[in-house]
Amino acid sequence: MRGKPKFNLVRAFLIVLPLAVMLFWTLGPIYWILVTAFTTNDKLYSPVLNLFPNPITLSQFRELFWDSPFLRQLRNSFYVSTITTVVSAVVGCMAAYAITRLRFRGRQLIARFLIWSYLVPASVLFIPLFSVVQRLGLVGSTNSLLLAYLTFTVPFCTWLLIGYFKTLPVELEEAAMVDGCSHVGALWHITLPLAAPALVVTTLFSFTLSWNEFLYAIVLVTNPVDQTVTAGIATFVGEDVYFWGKMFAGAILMSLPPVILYFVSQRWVVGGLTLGGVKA
Amino acid sequence: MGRDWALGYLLLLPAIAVLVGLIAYPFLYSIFLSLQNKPIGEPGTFVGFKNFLTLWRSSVFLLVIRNTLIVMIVGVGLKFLAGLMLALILNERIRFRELWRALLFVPWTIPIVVSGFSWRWILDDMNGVLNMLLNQLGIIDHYVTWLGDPQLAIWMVVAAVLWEGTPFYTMNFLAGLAAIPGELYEAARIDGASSIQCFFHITLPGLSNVIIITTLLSAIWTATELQWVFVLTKGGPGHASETFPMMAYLQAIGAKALGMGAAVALSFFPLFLIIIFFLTRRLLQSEE
Repeated sequence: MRGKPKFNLVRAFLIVLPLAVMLFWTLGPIYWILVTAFTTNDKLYSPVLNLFPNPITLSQFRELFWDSPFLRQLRNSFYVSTITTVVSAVVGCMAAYAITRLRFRGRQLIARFLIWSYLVPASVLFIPLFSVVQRLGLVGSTNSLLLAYLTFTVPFCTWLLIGYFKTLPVELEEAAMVDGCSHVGALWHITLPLAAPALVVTTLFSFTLSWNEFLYAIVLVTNPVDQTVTAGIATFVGEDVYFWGKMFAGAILMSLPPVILYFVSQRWVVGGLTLGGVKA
Repeated sequence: MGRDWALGYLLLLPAIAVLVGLIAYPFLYSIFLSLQNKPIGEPGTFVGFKNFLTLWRSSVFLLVIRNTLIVMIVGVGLKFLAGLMLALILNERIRFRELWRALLFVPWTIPIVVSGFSWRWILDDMNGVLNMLLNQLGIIDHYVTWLGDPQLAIWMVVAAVLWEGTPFYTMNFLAGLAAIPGELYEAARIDGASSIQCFFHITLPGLSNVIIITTLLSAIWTATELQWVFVLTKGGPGHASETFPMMAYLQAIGAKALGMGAAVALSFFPLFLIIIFFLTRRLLQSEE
């Protein structure tokens, strides 16, 4: 366990071998996505196996941009994810402050409802939500996704922020209020600046959750130009026999925001993902 | 009402609006929907428990229960084992540890729909790389229809679930391992404990809370995720790989029968209610 790494047979068998197997299993499909997106169609569908893209081509990306509404869908995804994230961060900060700092009846119950509602699966909620959105006359509009995504981003943000606010010392706020600052002033001038790292993580993750969402995206919006990328990519199937190259070109581009956000925020989030709740 | 109730509820107002308007109300409305024959875009007619009775008597429903449980239990079990193994390995002092960690987390960061399609392409029976590789290596002499075979399809879904979900376990277990004090191991060593004894008497008990929360969360997410089945097989061939979210989708959106779709979703809800109950208790305990 501790001490210098020893290179012996047991160690090789217990560590190097399983690690190598897991790396191959994990990276194989990633490698194949990359290869597919940069290979020409005649090589992709030839009966001979081509493990490297030869020649390397950008034709799949070109086709993606010109022959599909992908760029438009990328814009829709940014629009929906950004707005839901901003709204849920604001709503979450207000709610988390009320629950952790104010004294009133019912706040424990509301905290409990927040976890419950985060855990109610979308596959249970999507049917009635579809009906509600339909009655509001919003079915088919990109904006209907804003409503749907708040169902998971608001509980998620609030819960993470409750966990973080609890770890912040109240003394600073109390001192500020002795000096005549109001509750709202204390939240704005003291709590929020202290909570900045948690706020960054919360927004990054709620952005990723919205960006990756699929079920509401295919149910509530059906017109390709109004869809987000997750739903858009699923419609590639069937519209063209040779869609794989184009699809993975799009898949790579749509994976970049969550992958980049993850690696940027990685050092703050180890273990902090599960509702802020996982503590040993 | 408490000292700050006016300000408290003012600050909570938007959150409560979302909770009530977008979660509680639709949830209750789905119960109402499930008691109706309600085609999309048409007024519904009240039919009582007819949807539920038709559903529970159908043979497809049994198959869907079986498939959902396979994906949930086998998927979670394999993710747990693979995640624990990787966490123990990455907790050791090995070369390039940070690099391995970063690489092994990639499947978890990309959208599920992307990983679903990458598996579908790998498993494609005509041009898929798996068939071509196995064939060139001489392991198979004819191409296997991985996703078109009623015996195999659901296991391909499990494989994709395992691939995408393992990093979540690894990540949480690594955080849990980091929180176990090193002195415990040193003391055990001095008392002559073996590595295996250390694992069962220090590591596993130290991880117990993380293990319970991670597994329960993942059980809900795994069983309720539509994308795997939707992307890989659409529930087919026949209903061989249909899970409950797929069935709810096919009924509500595919067949435009909102009432029946709601009945499918609600029939599975008690299972999740039990998990949610235990999980909420755990989460609130570890908050205190």
